[in-house]
Amino acid sequence: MSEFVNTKDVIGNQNTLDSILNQTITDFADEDVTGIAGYTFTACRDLRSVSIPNVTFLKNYAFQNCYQLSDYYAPKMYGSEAYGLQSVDINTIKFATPPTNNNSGLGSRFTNYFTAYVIDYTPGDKVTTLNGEAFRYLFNCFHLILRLPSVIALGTATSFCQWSPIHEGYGWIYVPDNLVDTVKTTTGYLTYANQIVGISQYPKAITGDTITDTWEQIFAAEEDGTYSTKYSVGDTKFLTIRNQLVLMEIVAFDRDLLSDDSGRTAKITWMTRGCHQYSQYNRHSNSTLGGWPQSEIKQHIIERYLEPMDATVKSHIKQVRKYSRYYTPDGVETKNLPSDDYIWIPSWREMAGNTNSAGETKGVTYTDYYSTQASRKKYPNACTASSSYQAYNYMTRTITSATKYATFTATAGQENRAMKDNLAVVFGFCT
Amino acid sequence: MVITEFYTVRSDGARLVRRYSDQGYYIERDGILYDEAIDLETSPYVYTETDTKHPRADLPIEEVLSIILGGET
Repeated sequence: MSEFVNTKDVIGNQNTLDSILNQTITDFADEDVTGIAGYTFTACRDLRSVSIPNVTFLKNYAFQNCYQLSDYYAPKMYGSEAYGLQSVDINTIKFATPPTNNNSGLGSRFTNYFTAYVIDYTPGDKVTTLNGEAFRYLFNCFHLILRLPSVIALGTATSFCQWSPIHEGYGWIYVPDNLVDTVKTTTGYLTYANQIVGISQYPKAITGDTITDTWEQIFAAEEDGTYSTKYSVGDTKFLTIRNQLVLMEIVAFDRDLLSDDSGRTAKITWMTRGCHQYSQYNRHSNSTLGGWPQSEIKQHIIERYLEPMDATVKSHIKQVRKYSRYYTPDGVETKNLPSDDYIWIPSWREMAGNTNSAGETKGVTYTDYYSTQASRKKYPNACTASSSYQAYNYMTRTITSATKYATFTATAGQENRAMKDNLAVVFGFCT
Repeated sequence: MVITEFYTVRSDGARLVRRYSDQGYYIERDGILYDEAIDLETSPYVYTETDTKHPRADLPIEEVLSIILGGET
């Protein structure tokens, strides 16, 4: 628990100097606070729990990049300005009914970049148009609940739900049961007619991944040796990690060498179909010291993705031998620094071979699957190029100089970035 | 002028069209204003262009940059 003490009615303001940016606060609870002003908790990376029972509104970027924040209690919050809860892994964001005659919860882009799994929205009774831009960039939203008092027009149809799993066909839009048939045929909404259902059906199962077997059945297939005939490289499967649903894909069979020196290989290598987080540093200290094995990004993905992972899957993950290029801060190169990993971000070589001389010369590659530059592009989670959305610049564990590491850019070209630069995260594991 | 263009094919095969003003004005149908509208290709709706520009037509540069850079501003 940090020593931060608050006695204000509204925390912070638009002047970032007055906020508590980047503080090490871990929990915040205050029954007297009624609003959270712009940038107040931005980048408080240790903030895990917030209880603000009387807060009604968030201003711009209020909790942006509070990556650890998963316990969020704000039962009276009826809206937010743009990016108020960007990149926060809250399971459900439920908006209260706004005060009468108040529609400010519909600020353009108020939900942009929310990473909530469920968004439960109640418009005010004076709202006549829903701004479609308010419901896009929802990279992890699989359930959008719209508690419409009546059918409300969508002002900006092409933005509605764009760049979300729902747009990719994976999720559901819930509306009051008596409005389902009307909403399905209403301008704008009708784009998702096949995914619009009654609120009474919440939560509907998320489907669309290509492997319909359960994880238990997948592991049974590994045991009986049928896995490589039952499944194919490129097949996808959703995995529950903390409050999120992460789309994994098979990138190889029988390839990664186990760390136990038995000479055996893991049966299936999985990697995320898309990116997770969009602003994570490799080393906050900006040092290469120790390379991938001692990096902050390695510790980060262990804590953020491996430890809270679905227990059945986690228990079947195998430790494998990895190799990563490394430069000491003094500039001494080690081409293939070994490590034993349960979870990892990819190396340059694994994704692209030895192209551009960036990569390692030892270790496995997945270049039969990632055979073209275009195939290495990574979009947010379950999103694809079909959303007309750009790919993200994501990091590798390949250090290319005394100060930089290699990344795949939005076009999947190479870029060498400073260790402290914030980029997207792609990760994998073997079973 | 109201532009009508093909938007996409829905998963059930239905063809959708998008209608919008080429000058960034709201379009109107039955008293409701739209930045843009998506309907079935076979829908009978008729939209008229208003003389009011919608906010998206004049996005602040930081918002444009935000879109280009993926929101990391």
